[in-house]
Amino acid sequence: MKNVSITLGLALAALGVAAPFTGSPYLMGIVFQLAMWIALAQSWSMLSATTGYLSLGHAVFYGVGAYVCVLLTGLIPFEFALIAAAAAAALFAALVGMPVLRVRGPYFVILTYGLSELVRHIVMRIESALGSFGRMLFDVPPIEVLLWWMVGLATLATLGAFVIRHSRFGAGLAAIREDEVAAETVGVPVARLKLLAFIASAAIPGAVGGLALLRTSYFEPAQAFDPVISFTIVTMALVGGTETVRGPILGALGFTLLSEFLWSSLPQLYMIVLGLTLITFILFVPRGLSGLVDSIKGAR
Amino acid sequence: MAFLDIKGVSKRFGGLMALNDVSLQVEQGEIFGLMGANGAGKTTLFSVIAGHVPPTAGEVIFDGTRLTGLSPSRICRRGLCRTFQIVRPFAGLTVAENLRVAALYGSARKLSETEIAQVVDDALEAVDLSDRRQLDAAQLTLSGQKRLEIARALATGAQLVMLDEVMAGLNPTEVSAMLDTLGRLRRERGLTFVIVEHVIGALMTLSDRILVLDHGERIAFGTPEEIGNHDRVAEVYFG
Repeated sequence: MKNVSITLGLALAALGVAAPFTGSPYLMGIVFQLAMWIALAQSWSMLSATTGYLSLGHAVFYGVGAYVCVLLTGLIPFEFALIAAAAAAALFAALVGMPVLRVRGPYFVILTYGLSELVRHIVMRIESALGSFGRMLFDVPPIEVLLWWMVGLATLATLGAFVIRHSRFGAGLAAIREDEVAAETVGVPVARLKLLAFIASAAIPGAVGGLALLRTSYFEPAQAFDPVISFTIVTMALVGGTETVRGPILGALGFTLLSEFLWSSLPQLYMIVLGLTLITFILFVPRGLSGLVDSIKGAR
Repeated sequence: MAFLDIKGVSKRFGGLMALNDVSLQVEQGEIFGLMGANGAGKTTLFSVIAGHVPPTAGEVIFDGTRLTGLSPSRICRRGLCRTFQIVRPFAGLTVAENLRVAALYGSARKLSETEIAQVVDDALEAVDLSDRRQLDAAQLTLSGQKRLEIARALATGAQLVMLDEVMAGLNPTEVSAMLDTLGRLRRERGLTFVIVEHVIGALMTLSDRILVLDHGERIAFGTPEEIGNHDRVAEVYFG
């Protein structure tokens, strides 16, 4: 199973690197989307799959990244703007993490969602007070360059998720997921590890937001902080399966292809299918696609 | 200087005085029993010592350092660990993984992978769970989970282990096996135990000295025989 996962990962990475050479904007567009969702779902899993703290507000990190990137574009090279976007998202997570991580279960889900919406409205207010209704970006890097960056982020997020799960840090996070009080009792510094996981899971989405902004070359707060981004991340990760590192990849792959397929014919149907799939998986396939693959292999 | 020195600890929950000026000294290598009816304050005292609950007054000194104000994880790394009356296994992790976390985080210094494997094996061995190491903790019987609680405390490398009713809910055979285990741990590893137990027979057998609490105050203190003959204790326990 391990070899299959590694092969899949390498094949996707190769696809990402090779896509620009086909010269097909359509293919590059799809691969860009795919890499983006892998990076986001994988980052989300660094916090939520490991600790069980389900964040329904990851759009906020994406949005903060996009906002920082749009403010910096033209002032510094875009590579630095992306790094700043990741740093800003991580910093934001560090600032809000302490209070937000004090609640768990459904309260954490609601709080992260609410926080994301709050920031969205604040940014919308700021932008309208400045008299800006969306900002256009000129001189953005070509799609090939953006695509490679995004594939790099997806790879980084996947490796990061893998390393975390197999490290001492990951063992502590698993203990926190299982029983926070017991974890603290046997020496796990619970508050610090949760905060670190929160920061780790925020950084890459910040850079992803910046890249996505450069791709559309248009910033509009309602779009950059769109809660649908959060919903999609959670759905992909849960449907893919949170127990393994390959889960978020499978989820992102499935939904990106599905969205391409439905977009041309029935765009309205996409969100409906997303919701129905989520419900179906939570009820009947709690271990996700990844678990499904395992049980099929086990049955043989 | 006592190994564990509790100085005038009080804990007030609103209008309830859960602990009222409790002092006690535990010597290294002894098994110290805590007795008392429900609500006497035994578990609150554990929570204060282990850092889960800050005391309203008083302080806890362990091995020459002040624990009061430290987080439970830091207290654990200093060598004092507790178990829970209502067991708290990491249910979705295997028995071995439960202990691995304790070894990774509970020890005072960073252990190598070989040392961790050794600590895990030792702890499993000590509580007779070696043959269950690959099971999920959730699959253990209650007796098994109580043993896991102890093993997890051992795997942190704790020198003083506080056991909160590890015998409650066990059948007589299991209780006697548990008594053997604890006796052996003390003999072979020189561990110090503070135990809370409702199984009075077990407490009397194991403890070197016993402190009796009632409504948050100490009412008696002495060897098991002295406690057995104490009027006030008989009154509290048997009416």
